[in-house]
Amino acid sequence: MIKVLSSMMGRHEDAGPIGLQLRAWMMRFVPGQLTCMEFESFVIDYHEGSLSPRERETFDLHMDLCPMCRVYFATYLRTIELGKRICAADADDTAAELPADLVSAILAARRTR
Amino acid sequence: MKSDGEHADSEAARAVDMSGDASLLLRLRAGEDEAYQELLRVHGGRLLAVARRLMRNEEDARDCVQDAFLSAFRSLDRFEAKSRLGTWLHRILVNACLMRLRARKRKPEESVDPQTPEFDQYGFRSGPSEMSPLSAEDLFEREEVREQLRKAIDDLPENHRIVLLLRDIEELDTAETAEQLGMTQGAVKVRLHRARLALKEKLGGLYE
Repeated sequence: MIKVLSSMMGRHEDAGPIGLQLRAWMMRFVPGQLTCMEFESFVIDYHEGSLSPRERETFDLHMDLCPMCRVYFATYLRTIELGKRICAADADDTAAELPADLVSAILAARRTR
Repeated sequence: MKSDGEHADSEAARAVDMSGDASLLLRLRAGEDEAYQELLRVHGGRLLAVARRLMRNEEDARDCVQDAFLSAFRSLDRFEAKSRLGTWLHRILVNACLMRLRARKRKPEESVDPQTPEFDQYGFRSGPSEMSPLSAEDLFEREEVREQLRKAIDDLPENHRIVLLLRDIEELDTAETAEQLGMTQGAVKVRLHRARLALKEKLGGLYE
């Protein structure tokens, strides 16, 4: 029911003032909805894919209704992606191969053991 | 999602890699010097990059790479070829780095204290409801963003930085990370979430 109502209102940005008020009302008063604080506690498990299908649906519905959590989660994902990118870029820049002196040291240590 | 053709291609590439690993392994076990040189040439650079990330100190990073290769050489007979050689070496290197980090003079555990998200009395969030339209790719084009990112990661307390690197960069799963660090999986998740929030907060200006 909630899902149907929410989808009937379309994208949050296009919902209009009455639609927005209705969404805020649904988030607060319809049973079974997450609060933003509860949403926060599910973030890491959602990202890891370890929520049950029902929990995942509830999480998605909250994100659909709440623009603040949607932005919060989008910036959370963007932070992870930026971290991955910088580490990958720096690794490509600095480590095409082992320095020759380190190769020699490892091979010499192998022979002496 | 991969098409059947792409899936078949990646399976074929994996089979080629595995057969390359198998022939290299045979030569290593036979004690061929050239095989050891090849192993260092193929995998050494990537492992050094991982060690640099974890150790933040060139000398320690080099020592860890050396420890890891020597440890791998000693264990070649036990390698069962269920995984790729590169994956196996990566695991050994991460172990070597963590051992050295533990051996460093112990400092009191630091914690990060990212700004707690603000909620009203009903548990609803206050905060921006819009974000910059720039994608991660757009942001990453800018040198000042890359500098800010490096500094933000480097500034994290060590115990949070290591969890973030193991999970998000080295892509160990939660169970593996917990095992490597001697923590519970729940504690890994809490620490990872706090590390990500601290990083997000440091980068906050980029998202507005």
